[in-house]
Amino acid sequence: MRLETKDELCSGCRVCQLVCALENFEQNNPKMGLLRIIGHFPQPGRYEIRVCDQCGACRDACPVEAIYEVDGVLRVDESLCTQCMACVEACPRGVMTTHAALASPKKCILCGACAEYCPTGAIYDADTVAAEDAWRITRGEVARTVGGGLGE
Amino acid sequence: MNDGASAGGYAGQVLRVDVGGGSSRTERLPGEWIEKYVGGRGFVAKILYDEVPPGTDPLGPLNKVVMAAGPLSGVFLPGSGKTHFGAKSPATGGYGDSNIGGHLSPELKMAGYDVLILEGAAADPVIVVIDDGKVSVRPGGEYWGKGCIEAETALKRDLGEDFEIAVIGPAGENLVRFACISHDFGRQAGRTGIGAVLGSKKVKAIAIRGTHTIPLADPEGLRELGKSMYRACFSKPGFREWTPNGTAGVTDWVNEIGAFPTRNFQTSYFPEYKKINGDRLRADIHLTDKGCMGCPIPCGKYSLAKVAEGQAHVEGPEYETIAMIGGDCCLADINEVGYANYVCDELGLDTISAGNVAAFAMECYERGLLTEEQVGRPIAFGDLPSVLYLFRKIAAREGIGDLLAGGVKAAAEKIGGGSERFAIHVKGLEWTGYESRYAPAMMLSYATADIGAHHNRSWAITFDVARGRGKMEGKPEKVVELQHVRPLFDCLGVCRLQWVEIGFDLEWYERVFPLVTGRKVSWDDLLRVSERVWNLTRAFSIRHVPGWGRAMDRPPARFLEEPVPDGPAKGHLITADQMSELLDNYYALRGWDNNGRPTRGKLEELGLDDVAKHLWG
Amino acid sequence: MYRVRVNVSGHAREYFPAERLGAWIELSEPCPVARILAGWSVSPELVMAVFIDGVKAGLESVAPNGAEILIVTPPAGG
Repeated sequence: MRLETKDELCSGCRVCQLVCALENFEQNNPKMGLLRIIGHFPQPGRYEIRVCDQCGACRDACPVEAIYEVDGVLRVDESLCTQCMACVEACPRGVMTTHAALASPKKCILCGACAEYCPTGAIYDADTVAAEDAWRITRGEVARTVGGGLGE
Repeated sequence: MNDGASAGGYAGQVLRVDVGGGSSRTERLPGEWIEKYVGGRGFVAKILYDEVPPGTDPLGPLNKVVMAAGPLSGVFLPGSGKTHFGAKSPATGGYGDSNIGGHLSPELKMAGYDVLILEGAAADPVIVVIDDGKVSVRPGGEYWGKGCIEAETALKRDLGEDFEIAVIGPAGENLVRFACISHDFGRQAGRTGIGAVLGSKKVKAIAIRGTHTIPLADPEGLRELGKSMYRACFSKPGFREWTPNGTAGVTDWVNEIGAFPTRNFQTSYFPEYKKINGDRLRADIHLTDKGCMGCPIPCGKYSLAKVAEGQAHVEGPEYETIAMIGGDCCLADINEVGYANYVCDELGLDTISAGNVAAFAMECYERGLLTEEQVGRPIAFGDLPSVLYLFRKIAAREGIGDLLAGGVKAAAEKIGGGSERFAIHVKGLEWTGYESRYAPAMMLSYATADIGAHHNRSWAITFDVARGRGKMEGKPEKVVELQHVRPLFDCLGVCRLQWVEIGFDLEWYERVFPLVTGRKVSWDDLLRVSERVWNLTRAFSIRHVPGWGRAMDRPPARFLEEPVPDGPAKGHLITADQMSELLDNYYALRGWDNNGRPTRGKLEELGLDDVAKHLWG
Repeated sequence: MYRVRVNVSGHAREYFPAERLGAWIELSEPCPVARILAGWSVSPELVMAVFIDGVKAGLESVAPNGAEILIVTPPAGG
């Protein structure tokens, strides 16, 4: 799975953040969502979606090697994490997520729920959907992505 | 966080802020409110009824502004971004409320509160800041005088991008009776003048940031059912087709059936409607769709409108703005309607009432009831500078604007000359986007809506079309049914458009309610709540406004005496006798007396024994 | 034989014959959408927009054999 985004389709509804937090933490709390939606209003008037692209900046910044890779997905080993927040500062997209109720910084593990429930096709799995078809996802005209492994 | 009254859905706390003294206190959300009033609009009605006594000046310190979330607000299900505002209305003197989309109620709940009550009045401008459990009333002088969008931009810059903000504009500051509350750069709680109530308290803005989880009775169950609800929306026929034009998409239809407010409701068909319809919005000015929290069918259309005076980013125009500023003021260009929408948004004017008031003024001018000297310049239908001039004068309460700032009812009383015949309102609230002389159920809906003339309590016009537009039979039944179903969404804290627009099935709400709250209720139970709230708001207004009842449940003389002059509804009207018969049947169905007062029996049946005592002794 | 399928979106769906919606309808010859509605005694005034196979059309449009017709009823909002 490879998450891609089309900002021009985003309506800022935050379904992605709601489903992400429920899927990963069983919490109805968009502030725990592992992706960001940024509104640029009143001008120029558009939304910006930031998802993790598994770039590895967090792993490279981690002084205790608590971030490791499994099948192209970077995960946080909470037993090693010292909450130094170096990964949070290093993340170029601002999606290493911290929250008072979460023990350590959290990151996207490509569960795919955001892409599956984005109502407009603004987030999609580029491995299975062509960019120009993204808007058709919700209509069922192209296959929805199927979520990968859940939990850590 | 939760007080145990319910397993989930509620943050469990009520926040009271004394904006004058600057203090605040937290109370437990009473279990009785949850059981009898559910949330949102129900909480607003209950609080205003209990805490704002008859005789209260709507713009005095004893009025209160209530902001309430529902149990489904902010939850992972379609359209959970709705927030309810209420106060004793400065437009009508009766019960006032208005609903707004966006992200306010989810944020309020994440900050730990289901309800915010603003009390008292500050001497100097303030902002109310709620940052999780930390509540403060801060000096707001630097924002006072700014437009809504300008002020929201400044507040986000100063407090943080992640604050959700409700704000008033100059119109609210200057106590214009149809001033709105604005949020998220162009959404409004537009109706009943609650922006003026905030202005009277010197509250420029409410800023909220919350990080707590909204508790759910069954998070895993909700997650799965929520997914099913989204999939059900995605698979509805019309899911993709409805969204591109949003509410503006209905413009053609309303004209083609002859129900479009035109020239101050002189007629019901605007020949140039194709220049201001949903297709023009989408093709000519649209930039991006803008959705409320959790919405799969975002109706918000963010646009860039360009006119001779300049260009402006604006959320909209929505259908209602197209009807009231487009058709009713005869502006035949989507850019002009969009720009005028922007001007209203910055000033903090409800576009519905503002368009209605401007159209009223232009008709008065045409008839010689207002002179160029009184107005300060010539004004004419179809002329954008005239419309903008009036809006700006009203918001500043300068010259003619001061006369018009009270709304069409108050203005007609001062202007005289028979102008009350074409002051298009009910009970002091301006009429909205459906001309109803050939739609009896819709006419009855407007006449009996609990806040004054408003379309959203019972949008019955398709029932008129389906069952015969000239027929009276069955219309009151449908109006009562819709007056319970539609405002129920405002109690739940969710949007009704998923149901209305794409046929999302009501059964879903019955299924999802126990997963969120831990309480099992039937749809009929919920409708009973809605009926209780309807009777409560009626009782509020009866106690606050002398004559609120049959004599005020009526459309203006124009609709009862002047047949539609042209267009598809040509020749039609509803007579005073027909209106009277509709009301007889409506009251009987409601268990109200012939003067439109809820009977003791009906009130007691609804568990409103205290209200029965107030009304009947 | 002419076969089409008609679906209706929006709350006014309740004024259409539920048993006919979403099912294939068989008629002797191709006809405009309006005539199908007339056969059901449904007022054309309940129609806000017509789509045939996802493309905007009108009440007088004749859908090709085997087409999916979507009727969008009017919304209320704003």
